[in-house]
Amino acid sequence: MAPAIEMRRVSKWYPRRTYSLAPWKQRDKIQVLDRLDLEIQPGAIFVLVGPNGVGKTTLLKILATLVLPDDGEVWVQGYSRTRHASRIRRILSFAIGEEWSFYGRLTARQNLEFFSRLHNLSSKEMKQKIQEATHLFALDGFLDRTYETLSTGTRHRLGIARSFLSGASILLADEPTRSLDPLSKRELQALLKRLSREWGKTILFTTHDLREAEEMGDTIGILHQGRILGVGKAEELSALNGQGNLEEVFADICQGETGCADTS
Amino acid sequence: MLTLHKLWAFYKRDWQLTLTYPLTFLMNLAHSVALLVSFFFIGKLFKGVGTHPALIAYGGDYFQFVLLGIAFSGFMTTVLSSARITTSFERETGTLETILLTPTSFTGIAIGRALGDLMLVTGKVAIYLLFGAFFFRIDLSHANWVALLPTITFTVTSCLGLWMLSAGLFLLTREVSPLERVLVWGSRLLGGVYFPIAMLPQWLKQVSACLPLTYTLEAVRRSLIQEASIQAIAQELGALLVFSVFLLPAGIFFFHWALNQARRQGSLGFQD
Repeated sequence: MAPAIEMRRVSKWYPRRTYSLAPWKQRDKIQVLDRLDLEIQPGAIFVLVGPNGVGKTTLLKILATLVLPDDGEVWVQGYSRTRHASRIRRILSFAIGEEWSFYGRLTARQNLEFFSRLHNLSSKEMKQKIQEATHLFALDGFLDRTYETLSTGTRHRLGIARSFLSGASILLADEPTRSLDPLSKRELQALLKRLSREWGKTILFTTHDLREAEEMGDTIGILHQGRILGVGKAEELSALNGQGNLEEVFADICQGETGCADTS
Repeated sequence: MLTLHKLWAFYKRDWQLTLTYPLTFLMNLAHSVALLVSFFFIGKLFKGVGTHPALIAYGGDYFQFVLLGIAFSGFMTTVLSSARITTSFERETGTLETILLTPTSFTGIAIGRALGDLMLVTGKVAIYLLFGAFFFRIDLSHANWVALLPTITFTVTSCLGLWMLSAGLFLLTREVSPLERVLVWGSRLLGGVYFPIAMLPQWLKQVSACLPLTYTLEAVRRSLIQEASIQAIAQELGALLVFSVFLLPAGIFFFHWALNQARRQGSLGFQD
């Protein structure tokens, strides 16, 4: 069976953004990803950890076809990102980290209905899916409230619910538990686990919370300086520097004291 | 893929959003009425003072001249600003990326949105004409409505190309596109909206000849005031057709390219 996600030697540079009156001038480039390799098996929860600004979101956006890589190859369930971008959009969904990816003045239901239509759902399918998502993501009582009046926790759940509507088998979630209180965080983590265990979804999510990575990930990848410098189960990674502590390994990798490791 | 089903979803969402801004909607309506009333009194002020020879070709009634100018220039001004508003609105609400994640062609959406805007402008033009006829007694008894159809069709196709060019420029620069500014202000000044082009000096007349709106307004006034037939306005229609043939494919190509550039630079999401 083809891996759910496969990335080979993917590199990405961004031009340094300037607001000058001479746009023709050569601009510096910042390298975000550097010949990155990644493989995720179907049905797994893969947690990508890394410090802020290390390229986690860029990696997800490349997979989601929102950002073009400058080099390398990407396949999603065996489909090439270069040749089958629209196909990939049907099998992969992305819960964007930003809270504001909904229309604030519309109700949660109106928002979900709009995005369902863009996912080609008929009226009957749409109603059924929204009902299912409402139940699964505990959104009863919130559907007819405008998005701007919802709490952060509910907004995050609505974001995951939206990506559930498309019926995609792979879910990318960019720091889905960011700025949530411990209770809401636990609820969302439980939901993501349920999506993987009961619905067979492959989940790739990013965080910089190592404890969350240990709790959630079937596999953990540590992203630093544009590359994945360590991949494996939490205990395998923890054993890397002989201290049995993932936090220490993470610090060592980011400071260049522990070499590249692939324990998968 | 873009289907009517998806296009409908956009129109429905726009309507739902419009209803959440009732005052803005009413204020826009009031602004249009106030503008017309101002020109009605300006027209009255100059009635009998002596008509400028350039206005005689259009029946000599300044209010009628300017009402048609304001109404039909909406095709250009509304379409150009709506290209920026649509693109910036989706970027700033953070929904542009979410829409692009769905199996929906954004180029298709852009064309659909532009057509929707153009339909709204057509409705607005009809309201202007009815308003002018009922409240200000403008004389449309000699109008050749049939000749208006190809004029509107070719205006819409050339505006569609401009919409795509303008939206593409916005995606690239993330600020009001120079194309929008130049065309909106240039057309108001030189397209014959407020005064006949014949009044301009020769060199400005040549600039005016490069604007699609010049031909739209000339064809509209001739068919609605002078009962001109399609053959009589063939030159203006031909010019609008040429603009359409060049602008539409150029707009689609450029918009598609700009979208890919934004994907390359990672600038589709809200960052400002």
